[in-house]
Amino acid sequence: MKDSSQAISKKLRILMTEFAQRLPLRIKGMEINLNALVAKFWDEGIARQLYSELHKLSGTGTSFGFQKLSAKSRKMEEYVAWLLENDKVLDKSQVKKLCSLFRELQRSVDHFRDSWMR
Amino acid sequence: MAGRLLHRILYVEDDPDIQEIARLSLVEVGGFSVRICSYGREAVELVPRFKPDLIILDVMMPDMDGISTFKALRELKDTKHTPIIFLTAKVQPDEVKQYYAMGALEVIYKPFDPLTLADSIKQIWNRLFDER
Repeated sequence: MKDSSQAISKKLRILMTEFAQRLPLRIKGMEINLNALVAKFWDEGIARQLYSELHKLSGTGTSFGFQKLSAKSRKMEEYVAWLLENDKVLDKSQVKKLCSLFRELQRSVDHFRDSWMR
Repeated sequence: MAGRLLHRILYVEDDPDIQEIARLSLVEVGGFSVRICSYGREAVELVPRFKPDLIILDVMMPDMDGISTFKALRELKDTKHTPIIFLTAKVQPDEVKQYYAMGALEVIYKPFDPLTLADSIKQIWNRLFDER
Protein backbone atom coordinates (compact mmCIF):
# COMPACT_ATOMS: atom_id res chain seq x y z
CA MET A 1 0.00 0.00 0.00
CA LYS A 2 1.49 3.30 -1.09
CA ASP A 3 -0.14 5.59 1.45
CA SER A 4 -0.81 4.88 5.11
CA SER A 5 -4.24 3.51 5.89
CA GLN A 6 -4.88 6.45 8.23
CA ALA A 7 -4.25 8.94 5.43
CA ILE A 8 -6.47 6.91 3.06
CA SER A 9 -9.28 6.85 5.60
CA LYS A 10 -8.98 10.60 6.04
CA LYS A 11 -9.19 11.18 2.28
CA LEU A 12 -12.12 8.80 2.01
CA ARG A 13 -13.92 10.74 4.71
CA ILE A 14 -13.38 13.99 2.79
CA LEU A 15 -14.87 12.36 -0.32
CA MET A 16 -17.84 11.16 1.74
CA THR A 17 -18.45 14.67 3.04
CA GLU A 18 -18.30 16.10 -0.48
CA PHE A 19 -20.76 13.43 -1.60
CA ALA A 20 -23.10 14.39 1.26
CA GLN A 21 -22.80 18.08 0.35
CA ARG A 22 -23.75 17.40 -3.28
CA LEU A 23 -26.71 15.20 -2.41
CA PRO A 24 -29.38 17.94 -2.25
CA LEU A 25 -28.52 19.03 -5.79
CA ARG A 26 -28.72 15.43 -7.04
CA ILE A 27 -32.06 14.92 -5.34
CA LYS A 28 -33.35 18.19 -6.77
CA GLY A 29 -32.38 17.02 -10.27
CA MET A 30 -34.26 13.77 -9.71
CA GLU A 31 -37.28 15.66 -8.42
CA ILE A 32 -37.36 17.79 -11.57
CA ASN A 33 -37.24 14.66 -13.73
CA LEU A 34 -39.84 12.88 -11.63
CA ASN A 35 -42.22 15.85 -11.82
CA ALA A 36 -41.77 16.04 -15.59
CA LEU A 37 -42.34 12.28 -15.94
CA VAL A 38 -45.49 12.35 -13.84
CA ALA A 39 -46.85 15.46 -15.55
CA LYS A 40 -46.60 13.71 -18.94
CA PHE A 41 -47.68 10.32 -17.54
CA TRP A 42 -44.65 8.93 -19.38
CA ASP A 43 -41.60 10.03 -21.32
CA GLU A 44 -39.03 7.36 -22.04
CA GLY A 45 -36.10 9.78 -22.24
CA ILE A 46 -36.92 11.31 -18.86
CA ALA A 47 -37.53 7.88 -17.35
CA ARG A 48 -34.13 6.69 -18.58
CA GLN A 49 -32.48 9.81 -17.16
CA LEU A 50 -34.17 9.24 -13.80
CA TYR A 51 -33.14 5.58 -13.86
CA SER A 52 -29.54 6.54 -14.59
CA GLU A 53 -29.45 9.07 -11.72
CA LEU A 54 -30.91 6.54 -9.28
CA HIS A 55 -28.55 3.83 -10.51
CA LYS A 56 -25.53 6.06 -9.89
CA LEU A 57 -26.75 7.13 -6.45
CA SER A 58 -27.34 3.50 -5.44
CA GLY A 59 -23.86 2.46 -6.58
CA THR A 60 -21.96 5.41 -5.17
CA GLY A 61 -23.83 5.27 -1.87
CA THR A 62 -22.89 1.63 -1.38
CA SER A 63 -19.24 2.23 -2.29
CA PHE A 64 -19.13 4.87 0.42
CA GLY A 65 -20.81 2.48 2.86
CA PHE A 66 -24.13 4.34 3.07
CA GLN A 67 -26.26 1.21 2.87
CA LYS A 68 -29.62 2.61 4.00
CA LEU A 69 -29.52 5.48 1.55
CA SER A 70 -28.50 3.12 -1.26
CA ALA A 71 -31.28 0.70 -0.39
CA LYS A 72 -33.91 3.42 -0.82
CA SER A 73 -32.36 4.56 -4.07
CA ARG A 74 -32.11 0.97 -5.34
CA LYS A 75 -35.78 0.35 -4.50
CA MET A 76 -36.88 3.27 -6.66
CA GLU A 77 -34.32 2.40 -9.36
CA GLU A 78 -35.76 -1.11 -9.63
CA TYR A 79 -39.28 0.24 -9.91
CA VAL A 80 -38.31 2.68 -12.68
CA ALA A 81 -36.49 -0.17 -14.45
CA TRP A 82 -39.65 -2.27 -14.21
CA LEU A 83 -41.71 0.61 -15.65
CA LEU A 84 -39.23 1.00 -18.48
CA GLU A 85 -39.66 -2.65 -19.37
CA ASN A 86 -43.37 -2.98 -18.86
CA ASP A 87 -45.35 0.24 -19.09
CA LYS A 88 -45.41 3.16 -21.42
CA VAL A 89 -48.23 5.12 -19.79
CA LEU A 90 -48.37 5.64 -16.04
CA ASP A 91 -51.65 5.01 -14.26
CA LYS A 92 -52.60 6.74 -11.01
CA SER A 93 -51.35 3.95 -8.77
CA GLN A 94 -47.96 3.96 -10.51
CA VAL A 95 -47.69 7.74 -10.15
CA LYS A 96 -48.57 7.37 -6.47
CA LYS A 97 -45.97 4.64 -6.00
CA LEU A 98 -43.25 6.63 -7.77
CA CYS A 99 -43.95 9.70 -5.62
CA SER A 100 -44.04 7.59 -2.48
CA LEU A 101 -40.68 5.95 -3.30
CA PHE A 102 -39.19 9.36 -3.99
CA ARG A 103 -40.43 10.75 -0.67
CA GLU A 104 -38.86 7.75 1.08
CA LEU A 105 -35.60 8.51 -0.71
CA GLN A 106 -35.81 12.20 0.23
CA ARG A 107 -36.39 11.32 3.89
CA SER A 108 -33.47 8.95 3.82
CA VAL A 109 -31.25 11.66 2.32
CA ASP A 110 -32.36 14.21 4.94
CA HIS A 111 -31.74 11.74 7.74
CA PHE A 112 -28.37 10.78 6.31
CA ARG A 113 -27.25 14.40 5.94
CA ASP A 114 -28.43 15.29 9.45
CA SER A 115 -26.33 12.52 10.92
CA TRP A 116 -23.32 12.82 8.62
CA MET A 117 -22.90 16.59 8.58
CA ARG A 118 -23.47 16.99 12.32
CA MET B 1 6.08 -16.89 -16.14
CA ALA B 2 7.17 -13.52 -14.80
CA GLY B 3 4.40 -10.96 -15.22
CA ARG B 4 4.62 -7.63 -16.97
CA LEU B 5 4.50 -4.74 -14.53
CA LEU B 6 1.11 -3.08 -14.25
CA HIS B 7 1.65 0.66 -14.08
CA ARG B 8 -0.67 2.66 -16.31
CA ILE B 9 -4.41 2.29 -15.95
CA LEU B 10 -7.07 4.09 -17.95
CA TYR B 11 -10.46 4.20 -16.24
CA VAL B 12 -13.58 5.29 -18.14
CA GLU B 13 -16.43 6.28 -15.85
CA ASP B 14 -18.92 9.14 -16.06
CA ASP B 15 -19.91 9.44 -12.39
CA PRO B 16 -17.67 12.03 -10.65
CA ASP B 17 -18.17 10.43 -7.22
CA ILE B 18 -17.11 6.99 -8.46
CA GLN B 19 -14.19 8.62 -10.29
CA GLU B 20 -12.94 10.11 -7.04
CA ILE B 21 -13.30 6.87 -5.06
CA ALA B 22 -11.51 4.96 -7.83
CA ARG B 23 -8.74 7.57 -8.00
CA LEU B 24 -8.19 7.20 -4.26
CA SER B 25 -8.19 3.44 -4.54
CA LEU B 26 -6.02 3.06 -7.62
CA VAL B 27 -3.58 5.93 -7.07
CA GLU B 28 -3.31 6.28 -3.29
CA VAL B 29 -3.85 2.67 -2.31
CA GLY B 30 -2.56 0.88 -5.41
CA GLY B 31 0.19 3.27 -6.48
CA PHE B 32 -0.81 3.08 -10.17
CA SER B 33 -0.51 5.85 -12.71
CA VAL B 34 -4.14 6.51 -13.59
CA ARG B 35 -6.00 8.58 -16.15
CA ILE B 36 -9.75 8.89 -15.84
CA CYS B 37 -12.04 9.75 -18.73
CA SER B 38 -15.69 10.65 -18.36
CA TYR B 39 -16.66 9.50 -21.84
CA GLY B 40 -15.79 6.69 -24.20
CA ARG B 41 -14.84 9.10 -26.97
CA GLU B 42 -12.42 10.88 -24.65
CA ALA B 43 -10.77 7.52 -23.91
CA VAL B 44 -10.46 6.65 -27.58
CA GLU B 45 -8.73 9.98 -28.19
CA LEU B 46 -6.44 9.61 -25.18
CA VAL B 47 -5.04 6.09 -25.64
CA PRO B 48 -2.50 6.84 -28.38
CA ARG B 49 -0.82 9.29 -25.99
CA PHE B 50 -1.35 7.52 -22.66
CA LYS B 51 -0.75 3.92 -23.82
CA PRO B 52 -2.37 2.14 -20.85
CA ASP B 53 -1.30 -1.31 -19.65
CA LEU B 54 -4.88 -1.95 -18.55
CA ILE B 55 -8.26 -0.36 -19.22
CA ILE B 56 -11.23 -0.37 -16.86
CA LEU B 57 -14.64 0.42 -18.34
CA ASP B 58 -17.93 1.36 -16.77
CA VAL B 59 -20.91 -0.04 -18.69
CA MET B 60 -23.68 2.53 -18.31
CA MET B 61 -22.39 5.77 -19.78
CA PRO B 62 -24.08 8.43 -21.88
CA ASP B 63 -23.35 8.72 -25.60
CA MET B 64 -20.93 5.80 -25.94
CA ASP B 65 -21.57 3.01 -23.44
CA GLY B 66 -18.99 0.52 -22.18
CA ILE B 67 -19.62 -2.01 -24.91
CA SER B 68 -19.31 0.56 -27.71
CA THR B 69 -16.18 1.93 -26.07
CA PHE B 70 -14.73 -1.58 -25.84
CA LYS B 71 -15.34 -2.13 -29.56
CA ALA B 72 -13.87 1.25 -30.49
CA LEU B 73 -10.75 0.58 -28.41
CA ARG B 74 -10.29 -2.81 -30.08
CA GLU B 75 -10.23 -1.03 -33.44
CA LEU B 76 -7.19 1.01 -32.40
CA LYS B 77 -3.65 -0.21 -32.95
CA ASP B 78 -2.59 0.89 -29.45
CA THR B 79 -5.32 -0.98 -27.59
CA LYS B 80 -6.10 -3.88 -29.89
CA HIS B 81 -4.76 -6.33 -27.30
CA THR B 82 -4.82 -4.23 -24.11
CA PRO B 83 -6.56 -6.13 -21.28
CA ILE B 84 -9.93 -4.61 -20.46
CA ILE B 85 -11.93 -5.04 -17.26
CA PHE B 86 -15.58 -4.08 -16.97
CA LEU B 87 -16.51 -2.46 -13.66
CA THR B 88 -20.27 -2.56 -13.52
CA ALA B 89 -23.36 -2.60 -11.38
CA LYS B 90 -25.25 -4.34 -14.17
CA VAL B 91 -25.11 -7.94 -13.11
CA GLN B 92 -27.53 -9.73 -15.42
CA PRO B 93 -25.85 -13.08 -16.16
CA ASP B 94 -26.48 -12.74 -19.90
CA GLU B 95 -24.80 -9.35 -19.98
CA VAL B 96 -21.80 -10.64 -18.06
CA LYS B 97 -21.51 -13.58 -20.49
CA GLN B 98 -21.54 -11.06 -23.33
CA TYR B 99 -18.62 -9.12 -21.81
CA TYR B 100 -16.52 -12.28 -21.55
CA ALA B 101 -17.52 -13.37 -25.04
CA MET B 102 -16.29 -10.02 -26.36
CA GLY B 103 -12.91 -10.68 -24.75
CA ALA B 104 -13.09 -8.85 -21.43
CA LEU B 105 -10.37 -9.92 -19.05
CA GLU B 106 -12.67 -9.75 -16.02
CA VAL B 107 -15.89 -8.26 -14.71
CA ILE B 108 -15.77 -6.51 -11.35
CA TYR B 109 -19.03 -5.63 -9.70
CA LYS B 110 -19.99 -2.30 -8.19
CA PRO B 111 -20.14 -1.33 -5.47
CA PHE B 112 -16.46 -1.93 -4.90
CA ASP B 113 -14.52 -1.55 -1.70
CA PRO B 114 -12.12 1.38 -2.20
CA LEU B 115 -9.59 -0.23 0.10
CA THR B 116 -9.43 -3.53 -1.80
CA LEU B 117 -10.08 -2.60 -5.45
CA ALA B 118 -6.40 -2.12 -6.26
CA ASP B 119 -5.51 -5.53 -4.80
CA SER B 120 -8.27 -7.18 -6.80
CA ILE B 121 -6.90 -5.63 -9.96
CA LYS B 122 -3.34 -6.72 -9.14
CA GLN B 123 -4.58 -10.27 -8.60
CA ILE B 124 -6.44 -10.27 -11.91
CA TRP B 125 -3.36 -8.88 -13.66
CA ASN B 126 -1.03 -11.47 -12.11
CA ARG B 127 -3.44 -14.27 -12.97
CA LEU B 128 -3.37 -13.15 -16.59
CA PHE B 129 0.36 -13.80 -16.76
CA ASP B 130 0.23 -16.96 -14.65
CA GLU B 131 -2.18 -18.42 -17.19
CA ARG B 132 0.13 -17.71 -20.11
